[in-house]
Amino acid sequence: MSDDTTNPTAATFPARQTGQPALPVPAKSIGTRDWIYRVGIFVVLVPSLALAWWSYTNVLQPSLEQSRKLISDVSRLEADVDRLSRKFTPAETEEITNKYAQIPNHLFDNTAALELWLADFKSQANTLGLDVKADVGKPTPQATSPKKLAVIPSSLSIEAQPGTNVNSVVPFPCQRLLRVAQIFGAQGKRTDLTELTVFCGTNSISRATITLDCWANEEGTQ
Amino acid sequence: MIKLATMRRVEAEAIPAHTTTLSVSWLNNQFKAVAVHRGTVEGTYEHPVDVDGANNFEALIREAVRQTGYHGQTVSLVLAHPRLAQQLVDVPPLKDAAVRRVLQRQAQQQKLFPGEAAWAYQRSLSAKGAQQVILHLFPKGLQDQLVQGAQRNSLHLVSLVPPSALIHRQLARLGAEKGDLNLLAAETGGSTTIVIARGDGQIVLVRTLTGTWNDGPERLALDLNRTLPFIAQQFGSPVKNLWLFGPGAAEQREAMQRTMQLGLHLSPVEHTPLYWAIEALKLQPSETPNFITPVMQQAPQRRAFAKVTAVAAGFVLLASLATAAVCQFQAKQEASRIDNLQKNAARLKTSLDQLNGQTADLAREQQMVQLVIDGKEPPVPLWFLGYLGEAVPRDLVVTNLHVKRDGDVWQVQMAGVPQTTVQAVTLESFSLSVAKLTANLANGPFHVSVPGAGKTPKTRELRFLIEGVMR
Repeated sequence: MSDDTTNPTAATFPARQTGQPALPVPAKSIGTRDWIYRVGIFVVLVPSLALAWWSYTNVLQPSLEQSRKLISDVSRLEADVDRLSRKFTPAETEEITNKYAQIPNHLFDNTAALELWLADFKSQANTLGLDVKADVGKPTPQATSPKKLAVIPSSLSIEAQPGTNVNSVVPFPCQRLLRVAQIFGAQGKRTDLTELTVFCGTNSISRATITLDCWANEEGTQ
Repeated sequence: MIKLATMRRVEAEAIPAHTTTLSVSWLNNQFKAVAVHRGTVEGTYEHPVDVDGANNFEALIREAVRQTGYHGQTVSLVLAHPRLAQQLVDVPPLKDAAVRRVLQRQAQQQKLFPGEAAWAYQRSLSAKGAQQVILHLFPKGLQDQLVQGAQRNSLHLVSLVPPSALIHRQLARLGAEKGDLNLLAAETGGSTTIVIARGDGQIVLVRTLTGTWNDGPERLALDLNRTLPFIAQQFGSPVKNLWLFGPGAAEQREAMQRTMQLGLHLSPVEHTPLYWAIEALKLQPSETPNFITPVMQQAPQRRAFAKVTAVAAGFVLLASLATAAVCQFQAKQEASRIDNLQKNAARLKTSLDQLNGQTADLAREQQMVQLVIDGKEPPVPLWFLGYLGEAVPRDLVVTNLHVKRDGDVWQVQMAGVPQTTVQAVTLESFSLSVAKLTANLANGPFHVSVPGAGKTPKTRELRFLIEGVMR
């Protein structure tokens, strides 16, 4: 057998066809091809794992967290809206609104209105045989009120006119004085009776002092 | 007896049971193959005519596979080739790895053919204190052709050994004395391979001689005669036994013996046409000079592993891409969801602001209503004054009344005297009337809290003063 010389006595097989690609010869040791392969695997594996990791941690995770936070926010907002919606029932709302609309009717617009009312009160008291002297104090702003309100302290000195039988229905000074309560109740304005002092004579009331807190709009009292 | 025992021992060795390979002997031009499956010979093939040229190996293997029906994946080759040579090389006393590096250089320097050399080695008996190895050299290009020839048949050449390895194995089993040097000359398809080894198996020398005893026994005997003194000189001990093995050995022994001083023996091992191919399967890989390095032998496993790794890497790549795609898709969906949630949140915030405003307004209005309308106080002092007409006994007269608001309560102060016009007033009757008055005040609708109410006041004057609190 010879490698490249033809032995005339020996049968030979046809030579390898031209153009047939040579097969790679195995390396003696771990060579360049193996390193290229390993680097190739590394180059494929590491970026692909990094891509998956990045996609999860930098793309999906923030979205999920933001979504979770928003869901929590929306739930909280919905709860708040629901709570506020239930704070006042429609009936309560209507009642409050109606009453609020009536507030101006309960307040004196200004000091002049109060004086006018006192004049009217005097006049009504006179018909009951009572002499009334009114003293209007200085308005005091109500700090606790959400709207500007003022309280005007007023003092009424009432003296019964003895022997004056002006009205057969209310012959006694005491009864006449009690009628004053009806006058307060009838006028509709917020007048709080805070003090009452009564002096009686031998048989009946001779003199009384009533202290009132009259509520008014603060703007009108300035 | 020695001979028979040796024969039995040699014949007792069988092909290892795990062996599955196509074992080929290509001794110069003689190509023979044995297909072995799990230690059992399943087919044999002998190429009918002589054939040479490493480029024919592919076709020979294809034919051998076809003829033997071999369906394994490996090929083992015993090769005798004019370019396959041996050198006795001195090496420094180093470990195997270092020796291999030295031999790599030696192989490229000592080769007698152009091109790179493939090499294999086996440690030889040291002579004169120097460590020696038998270096087998073969052109790398021819080896590559053989490897490729197997690969083109989808087979992997795992073993390429010189016939001297088998002769050495046979020599070690001939039963010679341990310390004696023995020589075995074998006919290897047109050449003669000589192996000299000690009785304990330690190899000494390998030579390949052109020509055989069949071509010219005298010339071969001359070559052997030249070898023997060299051995005696190198190793300080003569060759004690000389065996012949191969076709024609028995016939030519006489002719050779005539020109040789040392007695010639015929090897007791029976020679068969497929001896080389079959015996090659019994070689111990660790003791056999193999041109196919362990790295090359493991190439198929490495390729398979590489395929598995590539598939795994591909799978990881696909999985990663799929994960990334799923993440992107999910993120896109989340973005859409976030957009909706943000709109919803904005709408709810607007509603909440509106409701907050409305509720605050309503709360303010409610506070105002409570302050102005619901907080309106009745004219309690006047009602109390009216009640006194009922509560004051007839024998008492109230002279002073003072009712004043003090926080949540009303302070009541009342003074009076007896009614003189009714009857004669005694201190006792007056006290009783005052007690009745205080009891009326306490138990009446105004629930005036008077300290000592219900008890008869101890008074010495006919005047009373009642102080109490009305809630």
